Amino acid sequence: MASPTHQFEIKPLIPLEIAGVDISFTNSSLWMMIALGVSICLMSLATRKMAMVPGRMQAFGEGMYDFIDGMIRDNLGEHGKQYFTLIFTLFFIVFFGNALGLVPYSFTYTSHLAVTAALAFLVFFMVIGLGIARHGLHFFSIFLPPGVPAWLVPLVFLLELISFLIRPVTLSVRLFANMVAGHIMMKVFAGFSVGLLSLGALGFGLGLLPMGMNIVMIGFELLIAYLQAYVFTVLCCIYLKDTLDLHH
Amino acid sequence: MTDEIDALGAKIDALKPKPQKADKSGFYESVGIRAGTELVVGPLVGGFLGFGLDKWLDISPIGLIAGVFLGVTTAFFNIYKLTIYGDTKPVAKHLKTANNSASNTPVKPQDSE
Repeated sequence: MASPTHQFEIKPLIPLEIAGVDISFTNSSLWMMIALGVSICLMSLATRKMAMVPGRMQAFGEGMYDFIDGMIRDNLGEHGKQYFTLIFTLFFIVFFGNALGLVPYSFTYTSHLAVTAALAFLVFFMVIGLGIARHGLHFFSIFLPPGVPAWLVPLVFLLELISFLIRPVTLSVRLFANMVAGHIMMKVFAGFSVGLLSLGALGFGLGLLPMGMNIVMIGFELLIAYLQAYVFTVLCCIYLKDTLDLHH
Repeated sequence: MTDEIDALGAKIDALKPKPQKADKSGFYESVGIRAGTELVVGPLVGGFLGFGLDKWLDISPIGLIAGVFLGVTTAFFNIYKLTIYGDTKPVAKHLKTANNSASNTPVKPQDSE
Protein backbone atom coordinates (compact mmCIF):
# COMPACT_ATOMS: atom_id res chain seq x y z
CA MET A 1 0.00 0.00 0.00
CA ALA A 2 1.30 3.44 -0.95
CA SER A 3 2.19 5.82 1.84
CA PRO A 4 -0.67 8.24 2.58
CA THR A 5 1.70 11.22 2.52
CA HIS A 6 3.18 10.27 -0.85
CA GLN A 7 0.58 12.49 -2.56
CA PHE A 8 2.10 15.66 -1.06
CA GLU A 9 5.52 15.07 -2.59
CA ILE A 10 6.85 17.90 -4.75
CA LYS A 11 8.29 16.63 -8.02
CA PRO A 12 10.29 18.93 -10.28
CA LEU A 13 8.91 18.70 -13.82
CA ILE A 14 11.34 21.13 -15.45
CA PRO A 15 14.50 21.45 -13.31
CA LEU A 16 15.73 25.05 -13.20
CA GLU A 17 18.41 26.68 -11.10
CA ILE A 18 19.42 30.34 -11.20
CA ALA A 19 22.30 31.63 -9.04
CA GLY A 20 22.12 28.62 -6.72
CA VAL A 21 18.38 29.08 -6.09
CA ASP A 22 16.18 26.15 -7.05
CA ILE A 23 13.25 27.56 -9.04
CA SER A 24 12.21 24.36 -10.82
CA PHE A 25 8.79 24.15 -12.41
CA THR A 26 7.19 21.58 -10.10
CA ASN A 27 3.85 19.76 -10.02
CA SER A 28 2.78 22.39 -7.49
CA SER A 29 3.54 25.16 -10.02
CA LEU A 30 1.72 23.18 -12.71
CA TRP A 31 -1.47 22.96 -10.65
CA MET A 32 -1.26 26.64 -9.75
CA MET A 33 -1.12 27.37 -13.49
CA ILE A 34 -4.11 25.07 -14.05
CA ALA A 35 -6.07 26.84 -11.29
CA LEU A 36 -5.17 30.17 -12.92
CA GLY A 37 -6.28 28.88 -16.32
CA VAL A 38 -9.57 27.49 -14.95
CA SER A 39 -10.46 30.72 -13.16
CA ILE A 40 -9.57 32.85 -16.21
CA CYS A 41 -11.64 30.58 -18.47
CA LEU A 42 -14.62 30.62 -16.08
CA MET A 43 -14.59 34.39 -15.73
CA SER A 44 -14.13 35.04 -19.47
CA LEU A 45 -16.98 32.64 -20.24
CA ALA A 46 -19.10 34.43 -17.63
CA THR A 47 -18.46 37.85 -19.19
CA ARG A 48 -18.52 36.77 -22.86
CA LYS A 49 -22.20 37.30 -23.61
CA MET A 50 -23.52 40.11 -21.46
CA ALA A 51 -27.30 40.08 -21.39
CA MET A 52 -30.03 41.82 -19.41
CA VAL A 53 -31.36 38.40 -18.44
CA PRO A 54 -28.21 36.47 -17.49
CA GLY A 55 -27.46 33.08 -18.99
CA ARG A 56 -26.08 30.21 -16.93
CA MET A 57 -22.43 31.32 -17.00
CA GLN A 58 -23.24 34.99 -16.51
CA ALA A 59 -25.44 34.11 -13.52
CA PHE A 60 -22.49 32.20 -12.04
CA GLY A 61 -20.17 35.17 -12.56
CA GLU A 62 -22.66 37.60 -11.07
CA GLY A 63 -23.25 35.23 -8.17
CA MET A 64 -19.52 35.10 -7.39
CA TYR A 65 -19.28 38.88 -7.65
CA ASP A 66 -22.26 39.33 -5.32
CA PHE A 67 -20.84 36.80 -2.86
CA ILE A 68 -17.45 38.55 -2.52
CA ASP A 69 -19.10 41.97 -2.66
CA GLY A 70 -21.45 41.03 0.18
CA MET A 71 -18.55 39.64 2.21
CA ILE A 72 -16.60 42.90 1.82
CA ARG A 73 -19.70 45.01 2.58
CA ASP A 74 -20.38 43.05 5.78
CA ASN A 75 -16.80 43.02 7.07
CA LEU A 76 -15.14 46.13 5.64
CA GLY A 77 -18.02 48.51 4.89
CA GLU A 78 -18.32 50.76 1.85
CA HIS A 79 -14.65 51.80 1.87
CA GLY A 80 -13.62 48.17 1.49
CA LYS A 81 -14.31 48.33 -2.26
CA GLN A 82 -10.63 49.10 -2.89
CA TYR A 83 -9.71 45.58 -1.73
CA PHE A 84 -12.23 43.84 -3.99
CA THR A 85 -9.67 42.55 -6.52
CA LEU A 86 -7.37 41.26 -3.78
CA ILE A 87 -10.13 39.43 -1.90
CA PHE A 88 -11.64 38.03 -5.11
CA THR A 89 -8.24 36.73 -6.26
CA LEU A 90 -7.42 35.25 -2.85
CA PHE A 91 -10.76 33.43 -2.74
CA PHE A 92 -10.21 31.88 -6.17
CA ILE A 93 -6.58 30.90 -5.49
CA VAL A 94 -7.55 29.11 -2.28
CA PHE A 95 -10.82 27.65 -3.56
CA PHE A 96 -9.36 26.19 -6.76
CA GLY A 97 -6.32 24.94 -4.86
CA ASN A 98 -8.65 23.01 -2.56
CA ALA A 99 -11.21 21.93 -5.15
CA LEU A 100 -8.82 20.87 -7.94
CA GLY A 101 -6.96 18.81 -5.35
CA LEU A 102 -9.96 16.47 -5.24
CA VAL A 103 -9.48 15.52 -8.91
CA PRO A 104 -7.72 12.12 -9.10
CA TYR A 105 -3.95 12.32 -9.87
CA SER A 106 -3.94 16.04 -9.14
CA PHE A 107 -1.80 17.93 -6.66
CA THR A 108 -3.21 20.10 -3.86
CA TYR A 109 -0.93 23.13 -3.65
CA THR A 110 -2.83 24.48 -0.60
CA SER A 111 -1.59 21.40 1.30
CA HIS A 112 1.84 23.04 1.55
CA LEU A 113 2.56 25.43 4.39
CA ALA A 114 4.90 27.40 2.10
CA VAL A 115 1.97 28.34 -0.16
CA THR A 116 -0.58 29.15 2.54
CA ALA A 117 1.99 31.01 4.66
CA ALA A 118 3.01 33.11 1.65
CA LEU A 119 -0.64 34.15 1.17
CA ALA A 120 -1.14 34.80 4.90
CA PHE A 121 2.05 36.85 5.29
CA LEU A 122 1.13 38.86 2.20
CA VAL A 123 -2.03 40.02 3.99
CA PHE A 124 -0.20 40.40 7.34
CA PHE A 125 2.52 42.70 5.96
CA MET A 126 -0.05 44.55 3.88
CA VAL A 127 -2.01 45.33 7.07
CA ILE A 128 1.14 46.58 8.86
CA GLY A 129 2.41 48.58 5.86
CA LEU A 130 -0.90 50.20 4.90
CA GLY A 131 -1.84 50.67 8.58
CA ILE A 132 1.34 52.61 9.37
CA ALA A 133 1.17 54.53 6.08
CA ARG A 134 -2.41 55.65 6.74
CA HIS A 135 -2.51 56.07 10.53
CA GLY A 136 1.18 56.62 11.36
CA LEU A 137 2.25 55.50 14.82
CA HIS A 138 -1.38 55.76 15.88
CA PHE A 139 -1.78 52.35 14.22
CA PHE A 140 -0.18 50.70 17.26
CA SER A 141 -3.15 51.75 19.38
CA ILE A 142 -4.81 48.50 18.26
CA PHE A 143 -2.66 46.85 20.95
CA LEU A 144 -3.99 49.20 23.63
CA PRO A 145 -7.76 49.39 23.36
CA PRO A 146 -9.21 52.27 25.40
CA GLY A 147 -11.56 51.48 28.27
CA VAL A 148 -9.32 48.82 29.86
CA PRO A 149 -8.71 49.20 33.64
CA ALA A 150 -5.19 50.56 34.32
CA TRP A 151 -3.98 47.49 36.24
CA LEU A 152 -4.92 45.25 33.30
CA VAL A 153 -3.14 47.33 30.64
CA PRO A 154 0.22 45.45 30.62
CA LEU A 155 -1.50 42.04 30.41
CA VAL A 156 -4.01 43.11 27.74
CA PHE A 157 -1.19 44.73 25.74
CA LEU A 158 0.79 41.47 25.75
CA LEU A 159 -2.27 39.39 24.90
CA GLU A 160 -3.28 41.67 22.03
CA LEU A 161 0.31 41.72 20.76
CA ILE A 162 0.52 37.90 20.69
CA SER A 163 -2.99 37.76 19.26
CA PHE A 164 -1.81 40.03 16.43
CA LEU A 165 1.40 38.07 15.84
CA ILE A 166 -0.35 34.68 15.63
CA ARG A 167 -2.76 35.93 12.93
CA PRO A 168 -0.69 34.82 9.89
CA VAL A 169 0.20 31.53 11.59
CA THR A 170 -3.42 30.62 12.42
CA LEU A 171 -4.49 31.69 8.93
CA SER A 172 -1.93 29.50 7.15
CA VAL A 173 -1.91 26.51 9.54
CA ARG A 174 -5.72 26.22 9.49
CA LEU A 175 -5.88 25.90 5.70
CA PHE A 176 -2.81 23.68 5.35
CA ALA A 177 -3.77 21.31 8.20
CA ASN A 178 -7.33 20.88 6.92
CA MET A 179 -6.15 20.01 3.43
CA VAL A 180 -3.48 17.57 4.60
CA ALA A 181 -5.78 15.84 7.10
CA GLY A 182 -8.60 15.46 4.59
CA HIS A 183 -6.40 14.00 1.87
CA ILE A 184 -4.60 11.62 4.24
CA MET A 185 -7.95 10.36 5.55
CA MET A 186 -9.23 9.64 2.03
CA LYS A 187 -6.02 7.84 1.15
CA VAL A 188 -6.18 5.72 4.31
CA PHE A 189 -9.77 4.67 3.61
CA ALA A 190 -8.86 3.84 0.01
CA GLY A 191 -5.96 1.79 1.42
CA PHE A 192 -8.43 -0.25 3.52
CA SER A 193 -10.34 -1.18 0.37
CA VAL A 194 -7.19 -2.31 -1.42
CA GLY A 195 -5.98 -4.24 1.62
CA LEU A 196 -9.29 -6.10 1.98
CA LEU A 197 -9.08 -7.28 -1.66
CA SER A 198 -6.44 -9.83 -0.62
CA LEU A 199 -9.18 -11.73 1.31
CA GLY A 200 -10.84 -12.82 -1.94
CA ALA A 201 -14.59 -12.60 -2.58
CA LEU A 202 -15.40 -11.80 1.06
CA GLY A 203 -12.80 -9.05 0.99
CA PHE A 204 -14.28 -7.62 -2.18
CA GLY A 205 -17.68 -7.29 -0.46
CA LEU A 206 -16.19 -5.85 2.72
CA GLY A 207 -13.97 -3.53 0.69
CA LEU A 208 -17.05 -1.73 -0.57
CA LEU A 209 -17.65 -0.35 2.94
CA PRO A 210 -14.55 1.91 3.10
CA MET A 211 -15.23 2.85 -0.51
CA GLY A 212 -18.72 4.03 0.47
CA MET A 213 -17.11 5.98 3.28
CA ASN A 214 -14.82 7.62 0.74
CA ILE A 215 -17.80 8.70 -1.37
CA VAL A 216 -19.19 10.48 1.70
CA MET A 217 -15.74 11.92 2.37
CA ILE A 218 -15.50 13.41 -1.13
CA GLY A 219 -18.73 15.35 -0.53
CA PHE A 220 -17.46 16.44 2.86
CA GLU A 221 -14.11 17.50 1.37
CA LEU A 222 -15.94 19.64 -1.21
CA LEU A 223 -17.71 21.40 1.65
CA ILE A 224 -14.38 21.86 3.46
CA ALA A 225 -12.75 23.17 0.26
CA TYR A 226 -15.38 25.90 0.01
CA LEU A 227 -15.53 26.58 3.75
CA GLN A 228 -11.77 26.97 4.11
CA ALA A 229 -11.64 29.39 1.19
CA TYR A 230 -14.54 31.30 2.76
CA VAL A 231 -12.90 31.43 6.21
CA PHE A 232 -9.56 32.47 4.68
CA THR A 233 -11.07 35.39 2.77
CA VAL A 234 -13.38 36.49 5.60
CA LEU A 235 -10.40 36.64 7.98
CA CYS A 236 -8.38 38.61 5.40
CA CYS A 237 -11.30 41.07 5.27
CA ILE A 238 -11.39 41.33 9.08
CA TYR A 239 -7.63 41.89 9.28
CA LEU A 240 -7.65 44.45 6.47
CA LYS A 241 -10.27 46.46 8.37
CA ASP A 242 -7.49 47.79 10.64
CA THR A 243 -6.04 49.62 7.64
CA LEU A 244 -9.30 51.50 7.04
CA ASP A 245 -10.44 52.75 10.44
CA LEU A 246 -9.02 51.91 13.83
CA HIS A 247 -11.87 52.87 16.13
CA HIS A 248 -15.43 52.27 15.10
CA MET B 1 -60.57 39.95 -6.58
CA THR B 2 -58.30 41.76 -4.08
CA ASP B 3 -58.56 38.74 -1.81
CA GLU B 4 -57.25 36.55 -4.60
CA ILE B 5 -54.37 38.96 -5.25
CA ASP B 6 -53.54 39.05 -1.56
CA ALA B 7 -53.59 35.26 -1.38
CA LEU B 8 -51.33 35.10 -4.44
CA GLY B 9 -49.01 37.67 -2.84
CA ALA B 10 -48.81 35.57 0.33
CA LYS B 11 -48.02 32.49 -1.78
CA ILE B 12 -45.24 34.33 -3.63
CA ASP B 13 -43.79 35.60 -0.34
CA ALA B 14 -43.78 32.06 1.03
CA LEU B 15 -41.91 30.80 -2.04
CA LYS B 16 -39.28 33.56 -2.00
CA PRO B 17 -35.88 32.24 -0.92
CA LYS B 18 -34.79 33.47 2.49
CA PRO B 19 -31.68 35.59 1.87
CA GLN B 20 -28.43 35.08 3.80
CA LYS B 21 -29.56 31.70 5.13
CA ALA B 22 -26.58 29.87 3.61
CA ASP B 23 -24.15 32.58 4.71
CA LYS B 24 -25.32 32.21 8.31
CA SER B 25 -24.56 28.51 8.54
CA GLY B 26 -21.15 29.14 6.98
CA PHE B 27 -20.59 31.80 9.63
CA TYR B 28 -21.15 29.40 12.54
CA GLU B 29 -18.98 26.69 10.99
CA SER B 30 -16.22 29.22 10.40
CA VAL B 31 -16.31 30.15 14.10
CA GLY B 32 -15.93 26.48 15.00
CA ILE B 33 -13.06 25.99 12.56
CA ARG B 34 -11.27 29.06 13.90
CA ALA B 35 -11.50 28.10 17.57
CA GLY B 36 -9.53 24.88 17.04
CA THR B 37 -6.52 26.45 15.33
CA GLU B 38 -6.49 29.31 17.82
CA LEU B 39 -5.97 26.80 20.64
CA VAL B 40 -3.10 25.00 18.85
CA VAL B 41 -1.24 27.97 17.39
CA GLY B 42 -1.47 30.26 20.45
CA PRO B 43 0.84 28.24 22.76
CA LEU B 44 3.08 27.31 19.80
CA VAL B 45 3.80 30.89 18.77
CA GLY B 46 3.92 32.05 22.40
CA GLY B 47 6.48 29.37 23.20
CA PHE B 48 8.47 30.17 20.07
CA LEU B 49 8.62 33.89 20.94
CA GLY B 50 9.61 33.04 24.53
CA PHE B 51 12.32 30.69 23.29
CA GLY B 52 13.68 33.44 21.05
CA LEU B 53 13.71 35.81 24.04
CA ASP B 54 15.64 33.16 26.01
CA LYS B 55 18.34 32.92 23.36
CA TRP B 56 18.55 36.69 22.96
CA LEU B 57 18.67 37.76 26.63
CA ASP B 58 20.12 34.47 27.97
CA ILE B 59 17.38 34.05 30.61
CA SER B 60 16.48 30.41 29.81
CA PRO B 61 13.99 28.94 30.74
CA ILE B 62 11.94 31.93 32.03
CA GLY B 63 11.09 33.20 28.53
CA LEU B 64 9.82 29.84 27.30
CA ILE B 65 7.62 29.30 30.38
CA ALA B 66 6.20 32.83 30.27
CA GLY B 67 5.69 32.58 26.50
CA VAL B 68 3.74 29.33 26.66
CA PHE B 69 1.56 30.67 29.49
CA LEU B 70 0.88 33.90 27.59
CA GLY B 71 0.15 31.87 24.44
CA VAL B 72 -2.36 29.68 26.26
CA THR B 73 -3.98 32.77 27.81
CA THR B 74 -4.19 34.45 24.39
CA ALA B 75 -5.74 31.33 22.89
CA PHE B 76 -8.46 31.14 25.55
CA PHE B 77 -8.98 34.92 25.44
CA ASN B 78 -9.46 34.70 21.66
CA ILE B 79 -11.83 31.76 21.94
CA TYR B 80 -13.81 33.68 24.55
CA LYS B 81 -14.06 36.67 22.18
CA LEU B 82 -14.91 34.34 19.30
CA THR B 83 -17.80 32.71 21.16
CA ILE B 84 -19.20 35.99 22.51
CA TYR B 85 -18.64 38.37 19.57
CA GLY B 86 -17.92 36.15 16.56
CA ASP B 87 -14.39 37.47 15.98
CA THR B 88 -11.11 38.11 17.80
CA LYS B 89 -10.79 41.88 17.53
CA PRO B 90 -9.45 43.91 20.49
CA VAL B 91 -11.88 44.14 23.41
CA ALA B 92 -12.80 47.81 23.60
CA LYS B 93 -14.44 47.84 20.17
CA HIS B 94 -16.84 45.19 21.36
CA LEU B 95 -17.49 47.01 24.62
CA LYS B 96 -18.52 50.03 22.57
CA THR B 97 -20.84 48.11 20.27
CA ALA B 98 -22.33 46.29 23.25
CA ASN B 99 -23.13 49.63 24.93
CA ASN B 100 -24.58 51.07 21.74
CA SER B 101 -26.86 48.17 21.07
CA ALA B 102 -28.02 48.11 24.69
CA SER B 103 -29.00 51.81 24.70
CA ASN B 104 -30.82 52.74 21.51
CA THR B 105 -29.81 51.33 18.13
CA PRO B 106 -31.67 48.18 17.10
CA VAL B 107 -29.42 45.13 17.12
CA LYS B 108 -28.45 43.97 13.64
CA PRO B 109 -29.72 40.47 12.81
CA GLN B 110 -26.17 39.22 12.41
CA ASP B 111 -25.31 40.23 16.00
CA SER B 112 -28.49 39.16 17.71
CA GLU B 113 -28.73 35.55 16.57
